[in-house]
Amino acid sequence: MVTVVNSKADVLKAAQALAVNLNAAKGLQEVMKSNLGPRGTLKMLVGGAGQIKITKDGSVLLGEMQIQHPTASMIARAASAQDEFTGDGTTSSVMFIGELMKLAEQSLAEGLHPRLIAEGFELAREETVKFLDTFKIHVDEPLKEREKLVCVARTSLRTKIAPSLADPMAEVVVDAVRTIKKEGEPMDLNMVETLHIKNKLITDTRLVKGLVLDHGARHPDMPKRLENCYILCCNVSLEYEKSEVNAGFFYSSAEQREKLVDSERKFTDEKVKKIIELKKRVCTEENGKSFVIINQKGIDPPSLEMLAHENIIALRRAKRRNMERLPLVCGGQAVNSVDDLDVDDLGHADLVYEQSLEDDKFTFIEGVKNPQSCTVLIQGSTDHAIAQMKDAIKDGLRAVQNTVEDEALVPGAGAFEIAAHVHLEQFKKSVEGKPRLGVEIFGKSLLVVPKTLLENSGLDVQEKLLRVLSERENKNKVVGISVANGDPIDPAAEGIYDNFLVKKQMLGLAPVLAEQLLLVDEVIRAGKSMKSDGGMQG
Amino acid sequence: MEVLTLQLGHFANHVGAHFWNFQDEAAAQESEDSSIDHARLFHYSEAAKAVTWRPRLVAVDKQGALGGAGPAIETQAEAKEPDEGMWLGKLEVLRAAPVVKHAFQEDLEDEEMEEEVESERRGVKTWAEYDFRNTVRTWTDFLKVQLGSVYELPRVQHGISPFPFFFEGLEVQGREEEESILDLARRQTELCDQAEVVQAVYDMQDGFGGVADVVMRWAREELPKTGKFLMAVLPEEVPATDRPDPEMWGMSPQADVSTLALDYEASSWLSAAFSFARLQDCDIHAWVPTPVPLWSASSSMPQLERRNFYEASALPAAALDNALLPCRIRGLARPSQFLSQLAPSHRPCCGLLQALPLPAAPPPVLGQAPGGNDTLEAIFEAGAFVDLTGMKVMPLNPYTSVVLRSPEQRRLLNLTRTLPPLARKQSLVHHQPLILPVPFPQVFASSVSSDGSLEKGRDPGQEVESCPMVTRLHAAMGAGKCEALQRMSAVLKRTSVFAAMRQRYGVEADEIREVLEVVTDHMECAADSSDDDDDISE
Ligand SMILES: Nc1ncnc2c1ncn2[C@@H]1O[C@H](COP(=O)(O)OP(=O)(O)OP(=O)(O)O)[C@@H](O)[C@H]1O
Ligand SMILES: [Mg+2]
Repeated sequence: MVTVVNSKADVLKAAQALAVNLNAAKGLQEVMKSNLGPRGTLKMLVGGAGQIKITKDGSVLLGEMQIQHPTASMIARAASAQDEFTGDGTTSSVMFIGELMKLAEQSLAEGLHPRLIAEGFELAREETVKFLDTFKIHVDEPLKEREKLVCVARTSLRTKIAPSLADPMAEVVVDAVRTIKKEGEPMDLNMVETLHIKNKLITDTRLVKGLVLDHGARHPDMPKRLENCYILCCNVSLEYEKSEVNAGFFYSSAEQREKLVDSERKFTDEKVKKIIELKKRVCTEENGKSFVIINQKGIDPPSLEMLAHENIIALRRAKRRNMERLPLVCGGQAVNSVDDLDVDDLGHADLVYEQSLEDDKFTFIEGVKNPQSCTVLIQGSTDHAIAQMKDAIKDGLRAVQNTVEDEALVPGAGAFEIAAHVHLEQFKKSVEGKPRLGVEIFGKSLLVVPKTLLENSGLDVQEKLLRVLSERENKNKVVGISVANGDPIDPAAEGIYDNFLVKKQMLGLAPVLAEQLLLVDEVIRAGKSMKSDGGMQG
Repeated sequence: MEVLTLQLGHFANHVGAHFWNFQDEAAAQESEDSSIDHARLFHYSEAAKAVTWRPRLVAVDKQGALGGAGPAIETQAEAKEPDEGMWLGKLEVLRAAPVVKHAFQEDLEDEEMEEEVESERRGVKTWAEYDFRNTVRTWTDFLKVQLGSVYELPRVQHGISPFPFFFEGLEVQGREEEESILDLARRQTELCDQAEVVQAVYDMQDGFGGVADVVMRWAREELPKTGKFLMAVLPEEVPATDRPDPEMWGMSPQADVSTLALDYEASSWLSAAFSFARLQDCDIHAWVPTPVPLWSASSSMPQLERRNFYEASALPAAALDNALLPCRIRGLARPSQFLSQLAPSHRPCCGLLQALPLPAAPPPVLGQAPGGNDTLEAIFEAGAFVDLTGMKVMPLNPYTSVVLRSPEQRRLLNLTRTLPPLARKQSLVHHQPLILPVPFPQVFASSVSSDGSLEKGRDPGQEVESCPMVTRLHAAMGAGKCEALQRMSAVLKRTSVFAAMRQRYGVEADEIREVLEVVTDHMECAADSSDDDDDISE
């Protein structure tokens, strides 16, 4: 939708190639920078046929851009890898790369060899990573620090949606993560289902302690609501089996076919009967229990009929993931066969009901004890608002997950970049010779984050930045910048936190790519290895 | 007994668009021909008083490949601006150059508005008036049916970012793309009472081979009992922007052409080979390669422009419609059974020929029974068949299915008389010719009259509206050489491939040898023992 740079680089002579790389990096930075921070600009992309996409997210924007230039697309790939790995920091990464390239350009013009700059970058990078380790704030047992988690979620969400929406959503994502976290096990964010219903208002988005499925029963006589339910979660085909008998087109008589159908049917009916037997055994008049089946495989109409007759709700073709989520939500276990079914296999929910909206049906499984999986139910009246909300919530969930896994936070609002800059100013004195310039460039480039935050607030960048820097230099306090007035603030006091992982990843990816882009001879090879490495995950 | 259709790739979607246009025509003929069960291909629903028929389809294409296809009519009324309260800061609107709707689409919309106005079957204009050949930009320009589940791959921009090879497609695994595509498939399946068939058309030369792999693995798990039919297409030529980067294969632009590791054609067949080999454990029943470059010439379609996606895709679409007609006729054996008997087990490679139109019977020979000289072989000898696969026909191959359609029932039955008994069982005679929708390319010889017969010819300005036709689907086993497999094998044997694949994708020589083994194995079983004029391993 947005074409950044059009030249398709075929043969690039070294000097020319470097210039092109610099331009591509700057071009991309230019497009992205207005995105950054809580005062950034929301972008509405209107496609050629009137399709609308609204986003403030760097990675979403990159995904929509038509990036033809190979260098620009390398940068975009690096930024996407950042997003894939950490869920955040895409915009900052693009800007950081752009700034490194821009500042390097001047030194290059003065005749400094790119290799020396790259060397300096490398030294600065290692030093900054070390510094980050000392700068981060340890959080012991983050799950118990609900307040801190809400802060980090809120910081993230407020860069994507208005505060009046972000604040309640911060609570939603924190509670969601706290629900699924199991002691001593790595967290699987997939255990939070995010589902949307195009209905009502965006402010009706909420956390459901339970599971919502995007389909309903396919039989008109099945109940629409049951209370006090046993839940059978299974992966068993309840459709008729294919017989192995050879029937042709022209010659098989109707009678022959009838017979086939009969025997096939019998096999399936047996399975349904076994389930019904179990239902009859466990649901008595005394305990007042009812019965619900959630099946990953199909259920054909005759089977549905039999089940409906027993007042059972049965859903077919549930998501694979829901087979993992369901036992975590309501207990019991997913079964692959209906032989030897037992009451222990079953889960429990106080309430199961169906909600239908035009063509779409939704089934809610609620009223469960100690669920370890849950659903964020997004509601809203337009597709684009829903999409925007979905992206924001995804980022919020990742921010909380990262915090829990890092057991650490980094003060936000540019505080880290400012502190690291000041630190590198000191460090550079210990660096001998020309690479020192590279260290200096690196340090200056970090300031692109606070600078852009100021710029996006419409403030005087130079003046405000100097104040914040001197505050850091003189008092050695942690200082960030206020997006309201540009004054120095204490991010911790304001509850503005970023993820440690995000910063660390940014330091790992951006400078390395910038180095590759500077050393043009290696660009082509670099491009290849970037591609074949695919994502950066191991 | 539903049929789930998958269209994966840009050329595949062109084929699909023609295919759905045929279905749309056939549905319009409903009253005259009730033997076709349209509910197999379409899901019917009644919501908010509107009756809708939606294809049971999942289509995947590159981003931006849908051209002027705007948001579905329902969502057009939606707010064209961000919802209030979602973001308090600034908004920037980025507009892509508007894409003008194709005149044909405009007319379709108008027609929909003026419900039930007495209009001719063929709409307002003719093929020549729309000038499809020169005006179609992409498949949505000539598609008559409203599609539901179309997914555009994020980050893969149509005409900008190449999606060059099988492995790029496989990269969707474990990512949001995979989840979205499989969820669309799951939702379509949930609407089926008893899915019987998965029919897929996919681009085998590029990343969509990888996407097909991911989806077919899902189908193997979730729809184990269905018949699985794959049509693997490959366009004559793709635009330079969609080709793999020359650098990709270690070719430097300055290099002498003779040292090039792999050109576009070779890389296409290599990609296809990986796709073919990996699909072998997906329980595929029929795999039909229909690569445009391997088509035999057809005298009945002298003007067909093979390079034109819109035109070239019409032939495989007609063949697909016809060859799988037995899956849609009421009261026959189950479609899954039909498909599972097409080819010997684990030998899914099949050839496909079609005669469009089916030529008239030759004049009777004195002293012979009427129709005695009217045989499929004679029609073949006369060059009326286009061989879409490049595979020799063995008249006695029992794994053959011939589908003939024309009002001349007796003649058709007579034509099947020479088929071996098993093949005859798998064959079908249908009394309706294929109705050609307006956008079907009018590339027929002037001797073909408007009802597709070859006797009267047609006046200038007249267009062919229907065609009697025949397809012949035949398993490769014992059928002689299969050109597509030979091309694959030839590329796999090039030594330069090893280095290129290792460098680009980290694929080791062993893996390439394994692929070659699979291909060779299928090729050898396809080798006809009586056929001694060809050396398979050239
Ligand atoms: N209330 C705030 N005041 C000042 N700065 C803030 C505030 N909230 C967040 N920030 C800063 O905004 C930056 C993050 O902005 P944003 O989320 O828009 O971009 P990103 O994380 O780089 O990219 P993306 O989220 O698009 O992948 C961080 O540097 C963060 O510290
Ligand atoms: Mg962010």
